Amino acid sequence: MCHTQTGEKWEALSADASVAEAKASAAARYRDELGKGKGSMLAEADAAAEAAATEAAAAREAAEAAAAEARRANAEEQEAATEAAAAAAAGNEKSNSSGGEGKDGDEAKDGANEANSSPLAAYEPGANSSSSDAAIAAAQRATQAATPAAVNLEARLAARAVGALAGQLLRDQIATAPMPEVQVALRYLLTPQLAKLLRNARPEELLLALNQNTLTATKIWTLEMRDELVAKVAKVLKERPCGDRAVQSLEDELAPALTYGFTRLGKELQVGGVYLKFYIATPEEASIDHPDKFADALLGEKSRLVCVCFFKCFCSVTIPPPKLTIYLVQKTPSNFP
Amino acid sequence: MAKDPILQKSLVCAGVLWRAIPKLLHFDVSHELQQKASIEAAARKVAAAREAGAKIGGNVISM
Repeated sequence: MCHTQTGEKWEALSADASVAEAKASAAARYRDELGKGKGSMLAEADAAAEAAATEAAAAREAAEAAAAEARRANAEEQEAATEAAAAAAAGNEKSNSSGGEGKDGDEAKDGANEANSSPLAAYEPGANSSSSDAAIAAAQRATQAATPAAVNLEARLAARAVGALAGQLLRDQIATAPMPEVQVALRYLLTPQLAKLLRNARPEELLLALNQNTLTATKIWTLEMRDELVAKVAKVLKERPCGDRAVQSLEDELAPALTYGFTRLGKELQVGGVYLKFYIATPEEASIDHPDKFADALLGEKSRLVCVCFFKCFCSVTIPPPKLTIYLVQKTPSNFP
Repeated sequence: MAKDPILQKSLVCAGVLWRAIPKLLHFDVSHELQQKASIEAAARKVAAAREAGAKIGGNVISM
C-alpha cells in the first residue's frame, strides 16, 4: 500500500517534473525568441539612430553653409555700402575743392555723383563710343547684381539728384536754383502729378508710385507706362552722341522729352489736371490740389464742349459729385448751351 | 550745385537727367514695404517694453 502510494506519488512527481521541464523548455524557447526579437528591434533602432545621425549631420552641414552664405552676403552688402559712402565722400571733397559751396547742397550733389559717376566717366573728353558702351554695360551689370537695399538706395539718391537738377526741392538746406526747362521735361516724362512729388525731401512716395499701378482722379501710372518710359529712355541714351559731342545744348538735350506722350494717357479725358473718368467713379475732392481751378477749367471756354458732352454721356448712369454739381449750377451762365 | 546754376545746367547738358531716370524706375517696392513693416514691428516692441517699465539703452532692453 505504502509502496503503491509512493509509486503513485513518484509518478505524480515525475509527471509534474516533466510538465515543469516542458514548461522550462517552452520558457527558454520563448526567452530565446524574445531575445531574438529584442535583438532585431535593437538592430532596427540602431539603424534608425544611425540614419537620424547622418540626417542630422547633413542638416547641420546645410545650416552651416547657409550661415556662411548669409555672412558672405552681409559682408558684400556692407562692402557696397562702404563703397557708396566712399564715393559720396569723394564727391563731397571734389565739390568742396572746386567751388567751396555751402554744406546745404551736399546731399543733392552726393545724389547726383552717386547715381551718375560711372556713366559720366564715359563722357569725359577723349572717351570714345566703345568705352561709353562698356561703361553703360558695366553700370547695367552692377544694377542687376546689386541687392534690393542697394537698388533702393540708388533710386533714392537718383530721385534727390533729379529733384536738384530741376530745382524742385523745397527744403532750404537742399534747394537748388529752379530750371523751368527741366521741370517741363519731367512733367512730360513722369506725368505732371508725379513730377510734382520730386519737391519732397523724402522720395519714397514718388518711388512707390512710379513702381506700382496707381489709378486715381489725379494720378495715373501703370507698369506698362513704366516699361514704356524705360524703353524711351534707353532709346534716347542709345541715340545720344558720345565722345566730344557728348555735351549738348539744353534744348537738344530735352527735345526728346518734349515730344513724348504715354499711349495710356492719350485715351483719358483730363480737365484741369483731373482725370474725369476716375473722378466720377470715386469723387475724392481732397486729392485735388486746387478744386477751384479744376472747376474753372471745367467751365473754361476750351473744355466747355468737352464737359457738356462728358456729362451728357455719363450722368445718365452715374451721379455727378454733389459739390461739383452745385459749383456748376452756380457758375454756369444762363445762356450756357 | 545748390548755389551754382551753371553746374546744374552743365550736368543736364551732359545727360545726367537721362541717366538718373531709369534708376527711379528700378525701385524694389516689396523690399521697401518689408523693411517698413519690420521697423514698425520693432517700434511697437520698444513701445510695449516701455509701457511695461523697461529701461532701454542702445540695443539692450532690460526689465
